[in-house]
Amino acid sequence: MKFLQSIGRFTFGFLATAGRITVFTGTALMHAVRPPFYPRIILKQMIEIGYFSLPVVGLTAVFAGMVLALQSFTGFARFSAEGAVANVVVLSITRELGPVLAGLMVSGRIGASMAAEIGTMRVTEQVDALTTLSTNPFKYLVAPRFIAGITMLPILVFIADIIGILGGYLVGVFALGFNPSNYLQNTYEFMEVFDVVSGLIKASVFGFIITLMGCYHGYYSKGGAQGVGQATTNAVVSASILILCFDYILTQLFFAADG
Amino acid sequence: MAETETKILMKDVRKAFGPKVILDDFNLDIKTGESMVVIGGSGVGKSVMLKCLLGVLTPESGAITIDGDNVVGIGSAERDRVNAKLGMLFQGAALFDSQTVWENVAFGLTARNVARDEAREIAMQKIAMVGLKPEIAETFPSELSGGMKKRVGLARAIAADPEIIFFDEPTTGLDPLMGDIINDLIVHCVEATGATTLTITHDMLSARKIGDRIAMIYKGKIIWAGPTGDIDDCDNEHVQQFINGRTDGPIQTAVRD
Repeated sequence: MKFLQSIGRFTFGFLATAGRITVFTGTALMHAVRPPFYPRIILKQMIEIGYFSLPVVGLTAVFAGMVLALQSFTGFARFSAEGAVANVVVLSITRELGPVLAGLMVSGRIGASMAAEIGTMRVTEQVDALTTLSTNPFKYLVAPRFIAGITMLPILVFIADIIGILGGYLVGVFALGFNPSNYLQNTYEFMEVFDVVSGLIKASVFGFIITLMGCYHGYYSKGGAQGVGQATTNAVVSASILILCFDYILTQLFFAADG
Repeated sequence: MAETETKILMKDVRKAFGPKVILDDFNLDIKTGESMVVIGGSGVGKSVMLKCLLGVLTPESGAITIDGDNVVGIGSAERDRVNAKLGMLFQGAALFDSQTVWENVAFGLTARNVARDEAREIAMQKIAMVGLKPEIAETFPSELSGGMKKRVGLARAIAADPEIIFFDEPTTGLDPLMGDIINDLIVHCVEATGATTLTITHDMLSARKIGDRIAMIYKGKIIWAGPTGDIDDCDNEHVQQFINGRTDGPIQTAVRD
């Protein structure tokens, strides 16, 4: 009996949370496309997400590219296919590692910060204060973050792609002895526009997920410092899991036809 | 002097969180120009009552009117129109950390499309009105003491010259001297603006100083209401126990139950 009760409680809890997130998303998107807009806040969030995340995303990308070149060289050497290193690096970085690693790093940095900031505003009644001052909290707090997340992640990932490919090039040329012009030619010839575009679309979706989870958990946090801490953890964990889930779903959508 | 016209009316309001009923057929009537103080212990529904008035919470049943207009379940545009009449001093001041003092005070004005320069000018007047020096305008809330934050919160509450001002525990967390200064400022600002006010507090010194009338809330209902001068002579045991701070009496018994 208790087992059935647990299943029922979990199911209702899950459905309630899914419903709340859906309503939250719909409300936020509606406010994101309807005036008034807050350009200063949108710009501030864009700088926070795009500019200040660049070092951590860049470092992650360069090391990912370097490791990828090293590992694929070791593996391909067994089949005398070392020449495919550049191809593997560019494909992996643009399609997968660029958007996913950038998404996970930004989730840890920005998702956590959004949840903490909005959560603190919630528990200190600043969100209620916005309402009394004729300002819709969704329009002022959530919509600018959504816009910034959706637009800045693709830019960030595009830069990460270049840095990641550069990392692979450095290891390929200086550690593995590839001819620089051959390596670059292989990279250029094998890369297709859709590889990059699909990664950028993924990045935009991940930007949406990160800001949604950060804002949602922050907005509904309660119970003081402990509640804000919990909201921060939930924002990062849920965004990270959703990024990996949606990465699979989007990859299936984009590339299933290729076999 | 209080007029007879009703400014705020809460009639048979019920608000519950799951099985826990917070406001139970709650009734409150505040006249235009009146300073009403609602007293009561912790957890009796004072803040919930205020949040229902502000539109942050929606009651399950009952009516809330401001100037005769229903404010329950209204759209955001109508709510904005109602909120334009309101000012609010929050318990912890609820100042926006990322904005300077003057930006905090001017926030409601700029949200209502007042030009930034004009909003700043009004903010500086209100900052002076609550006894703060102009230099403080460019500082951030994190640099202020608790009393100064309350003053800035008060300046923000009166910035748009609202018809109604709500004060949520205005002296909580302040030392007695600063508490008295805040009480004086509230009385002064209310006289200057002519606003109708509703204060919730458990500080009887504050209640006596600010209020024209006092009402006591207990278990989600108003159990006594009357002119401030009458409270000491009222024969309600709950009220007498509360205002005299006694541990023995019906309130304690109810808590034990």
